[in-house]
Amino acid sequence: MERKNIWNAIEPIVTKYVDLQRDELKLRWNNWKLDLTNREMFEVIGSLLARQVTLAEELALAPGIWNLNIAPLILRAMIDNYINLAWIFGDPIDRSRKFVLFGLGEEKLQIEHSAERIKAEGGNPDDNEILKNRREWLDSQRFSFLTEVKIGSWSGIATRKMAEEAGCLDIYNNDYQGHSSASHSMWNFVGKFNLITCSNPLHGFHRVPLVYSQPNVYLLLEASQLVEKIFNLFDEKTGMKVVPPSAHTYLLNELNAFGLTMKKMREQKE
Amino acid sequence: MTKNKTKSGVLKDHKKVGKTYIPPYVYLLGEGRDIQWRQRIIPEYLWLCLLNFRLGWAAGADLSLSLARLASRALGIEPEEFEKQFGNAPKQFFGLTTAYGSLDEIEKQRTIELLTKDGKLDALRQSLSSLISLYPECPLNFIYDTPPDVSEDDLPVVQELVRVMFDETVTLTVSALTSAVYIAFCTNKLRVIVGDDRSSQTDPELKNFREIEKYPTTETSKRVAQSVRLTASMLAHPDEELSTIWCEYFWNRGLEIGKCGNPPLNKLEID
Repeated sequence: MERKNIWNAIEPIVTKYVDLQRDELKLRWNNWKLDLTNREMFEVIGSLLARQVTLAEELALAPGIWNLNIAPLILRAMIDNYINLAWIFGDPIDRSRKFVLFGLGEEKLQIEHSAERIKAEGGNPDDNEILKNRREWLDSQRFSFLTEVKIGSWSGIATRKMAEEAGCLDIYNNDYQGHSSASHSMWNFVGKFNLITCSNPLHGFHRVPLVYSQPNVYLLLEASQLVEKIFNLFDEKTGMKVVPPSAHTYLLNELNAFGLTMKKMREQKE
Repeated sequence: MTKNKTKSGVLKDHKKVGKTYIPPYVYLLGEGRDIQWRQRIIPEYLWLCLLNFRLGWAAGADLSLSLARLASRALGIEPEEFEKQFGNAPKQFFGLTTAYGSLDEIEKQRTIELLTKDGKLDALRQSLSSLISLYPECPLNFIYDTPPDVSEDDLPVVQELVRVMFDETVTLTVSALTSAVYIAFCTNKLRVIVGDDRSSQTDPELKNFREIEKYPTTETSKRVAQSVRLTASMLAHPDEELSTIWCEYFWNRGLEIGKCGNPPLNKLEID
């Protein structure tokens, strides 16, 4: 079966999975008792859950990127997101605030850089609508002149340390690190996936550039698993009792069934 | 610098120095030098492989030894030195292609005269023509008055031999390395202490050198082959500068005489 036909066959599965995943988020959010005296905490946690769902959804709906070239970039971001939330749950109110303040500082710095560029190009930053909107977003939370800009990681510690403190060092060592090689285009990634050995022995079996893509549906499952993981974390830390049907389990079961059908079809053909 | 063991089980045998985990071998013995088969050993011993391929193992080894000994003789090492237990040896190791590049014009001429006199020149020329036709700047080119013409089978033969030499377990590769060690023995560049119980740096398996003829059918021959590989590698550290010139030429010339092979997964590769 060609790639396009495979997608046609599993598109209904993926679409339903995406809907189920959104339902999972919605149900959790609706059943989490808000307390606006700690508004930042709810906003930060809610945004990170939504981010995780968004990333998995974008990956799911783009079968062209279910490959080891692109999917790890998304998966690494999802693991990063998971570690951030896991660490925040260690002291949710203070760490959520820290997360917000660091982000505001980042925004302030980026606005300043953009303004400098506009000036250098002979323009007036005050006339720039995008910059205006960004300043308004920043000032609506904290006045720019009060906002500190911090260099380094938002938590003040390395991601590995965050994972260690949050009790999820395993995901850092095994998944985050692996996908980091792809994200940063390190040798242990590009040497494997962007080179191929020339078969002429007189060239000493040197390697030549290769642009190659191999679809891998397990990457989609890895993303859905990461969403489930972050939901489980949320349920555990918030004491969430209402547990909706798992989108990940649905996807896993349906893809397994699809795989078995394909296998049978192949066997019958042979 | 801090030196700590890692806390977890991962890399626990390594030493942590700053942000680097150093493997025990490197920590205890230093970084050492890579023996690069690809870069050095193949260009240096390819001529031996070619002779063995063209003539068979025994005749190939005999002819390569003749050249090595006659080149030594051209340098003033008399044949009887090779019969003595501790006879004189040439400075060069004539198992290596590079060694012949160190001969001056008079020494080369003398070598050719001696080869002619021994009736070996024609066989040598015929057997090595594939190499010299494709690699006219090879240090062994002096055995020809003019570089031989490229024939149809030169490229496929040399390609195949180089492919074979990438696998150090293939009999033809072992035969080439054996020829190298044999030349080292027979030109007084290598000795093995036999029947001595003292601990010695000499590899004890080499005392069974003759067993290599049976490779790979006996366990002893396999062990000897391991020693041969190691010894041939160690012998491939001649004049660095000359060796580098030849090896660099060899690999870059390879790019000139043949295109990159079509990889099996070349769906979208860049030309």
